[in-house]
Amino acid sequence: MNFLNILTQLLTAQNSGGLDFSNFQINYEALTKALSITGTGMVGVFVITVVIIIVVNLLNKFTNR
Amino acid sequence: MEVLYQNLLAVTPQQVIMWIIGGLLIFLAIKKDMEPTLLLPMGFGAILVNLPNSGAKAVINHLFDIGISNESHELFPLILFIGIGAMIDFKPLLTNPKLMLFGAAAQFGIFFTLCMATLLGFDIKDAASVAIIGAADGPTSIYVAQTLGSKYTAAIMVAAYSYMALVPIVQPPIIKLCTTKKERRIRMSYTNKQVSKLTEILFPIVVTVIVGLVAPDAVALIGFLMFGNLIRVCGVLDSLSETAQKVLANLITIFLGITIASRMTAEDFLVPETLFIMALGLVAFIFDTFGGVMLAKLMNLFMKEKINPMIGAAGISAFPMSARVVHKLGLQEDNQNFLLMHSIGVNVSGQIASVIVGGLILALVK
Repeated sequence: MNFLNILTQLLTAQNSGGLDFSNFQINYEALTKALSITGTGMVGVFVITVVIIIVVNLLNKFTNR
Repeated sequence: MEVLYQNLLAVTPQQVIMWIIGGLLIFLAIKKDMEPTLLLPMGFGAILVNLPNSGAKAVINHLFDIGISNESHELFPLILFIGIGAMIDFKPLLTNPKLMLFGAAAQFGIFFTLCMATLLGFDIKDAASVAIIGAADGPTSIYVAQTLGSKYTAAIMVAAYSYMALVPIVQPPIIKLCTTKKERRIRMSYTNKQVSKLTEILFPIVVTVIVGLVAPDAVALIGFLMFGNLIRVCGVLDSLSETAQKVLANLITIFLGITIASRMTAEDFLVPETLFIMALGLVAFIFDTFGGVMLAKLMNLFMKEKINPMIGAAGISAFPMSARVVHKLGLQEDNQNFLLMHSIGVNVSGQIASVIVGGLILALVK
């Protein structure tokens, strides 16, 4: 049972007896993985970007001579 | 006689809802000019596949198999990237390469949405597929969602293209919320620096190699995009460049839209998750905008020559709508504040950054 199940209950007729929060749990393992991907991904995109910026600056410097 | 009405009796209410959704997409495409090249084929395709015992299903499914499925290596979106690459002029970016930082920052919404979708209960692959709506780039969204085997490709596509068309409505309030009037009035000078032909030619090659070395999963995306751009800038393939920009891009677009509709059957599309995906797509666009603007504000703390933070919002790759939105907002605050060239530079950098993030997500999630 997660937020998605509860929201699904809200949108469907399954909540006629009130919302069922039994067995509700947050998947901390998946959340930790998502946070780890976020960290690595943001660092990754900035590192690649900075490398491209440096290379383009060098290209501009040497090809405009 | 029975043959004539037998099929009519097989119509389900869910299919009728899908006809209405298809009709709505067609209405938005024609009447509101919202991404008509894709929303119209998708809308018509949604009607086609939701007719009872539709004879079109088989052929559209076949198009999916040969153009979008994993077995086809997501051929359609990749080929479309050649056309997109041929359309993009990277010169505004090459004259001021540091603008690329905003393209990177404006991918924040993708990662924020990834966390939100995971928190909601989507499994990590579906969460990543939903989050990539924030790439504001249809082909990248299809490529990532398909490669990760998401069952929500159709909803992701509808969300991605709808929000891209809604950029002029979604972005301005967020930009205004994140900036002060004084910041929005910051003028940025533009000097028309020359970029050598050699730089223009080397840029697509160098970017492909750099991205490929760090994020090999992004090579197909970035490679096809940059191949299209190389055709454009090399100077000896004008007719190929023109074909890629017009004929090739149009041809693939026709098939892409209608093929996506193969996943818009009532049983796949009319699920609560579709609503959550639409909502999460909006979250992604909002936080992309936020990320770009915030980086500009942060940089202003350290820079002598201030940046108008609004240009950071153009880092989402919805090209060229986002750049136009920023330019218009600048003019609203000060009718002599011309931000177009800066925002175009940021906007094309967003195209590159979104592809890089797509590749990184594939590498990290697979």
